Amino acid sequence: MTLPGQKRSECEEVVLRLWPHLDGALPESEQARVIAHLKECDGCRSHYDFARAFLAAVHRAAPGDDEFAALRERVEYAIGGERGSL
Amino acid sequence: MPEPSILSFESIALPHLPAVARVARALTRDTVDADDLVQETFLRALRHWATFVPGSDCRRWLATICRNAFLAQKAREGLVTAVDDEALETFGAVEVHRSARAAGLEDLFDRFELGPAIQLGIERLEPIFRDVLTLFDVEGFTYEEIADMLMIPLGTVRSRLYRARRQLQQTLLAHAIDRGYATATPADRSTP
Repeated sequence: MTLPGQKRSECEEVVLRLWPHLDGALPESEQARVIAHLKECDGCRSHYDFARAFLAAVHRAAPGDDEFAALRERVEYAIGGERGSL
Repeated sequence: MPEPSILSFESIALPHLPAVARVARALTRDTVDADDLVQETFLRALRHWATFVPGSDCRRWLATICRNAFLAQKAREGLVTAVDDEALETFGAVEVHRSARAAGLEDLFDRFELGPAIQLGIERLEPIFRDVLTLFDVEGFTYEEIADMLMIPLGTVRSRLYRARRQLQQTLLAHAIDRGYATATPADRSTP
């Protein structure tokens, strides 16, 4: 990691953009810069692959909506009451 | 523009209840208050259903109502606006990767079934980090939408999300090592 005032290397600049790159949140020009670097740099590419695999695992394991079944019943009941007064 | 049918409320708005509930939890930090806020959100939405534009983003519309209902209930002084360092968190995630590689677990997320460990890991995150991770990585809201909903700076959304991911990665790596999945020890580290 760089110290305050020290210039970051291209690898550090790319690593800083890995999450926003994976999240689709980078401006187009920065996206192109990251993609170009990842093609050339095995080290950064491996960080990228690790992060991408992590996000894929999180998406596969995402908690379902079952925990909200009781709340949904409660809201439906309240909506029924509200409709009666509309 | 035609007004949405009052009868369509259940089929269009109610499927977004889990997303609204997660937004409400993130706002209130309290399950009971969150459930009350969800109910209030849907009742407000029903009363104003005629203003919903058919075909527009109903989930976002509901999230905005939820935030406004929350603001109507609570004074703003309760809101947390922690300032974190998103760069530090990003570099931290790279360190977790290096540790995984040193332990022979570079392919940790592809090779092992980590579903239950991930769910438990998410549950055990501190609420301010878990909420942002859930809203982004589970619900698919954007950085900007989350910043708007939770009334926190965009940079805080990013830093909380990256910290949540880094902490979850550390938890999963520790879980894998505890399970005996590691094929090397940090002493075997040979690559930078």
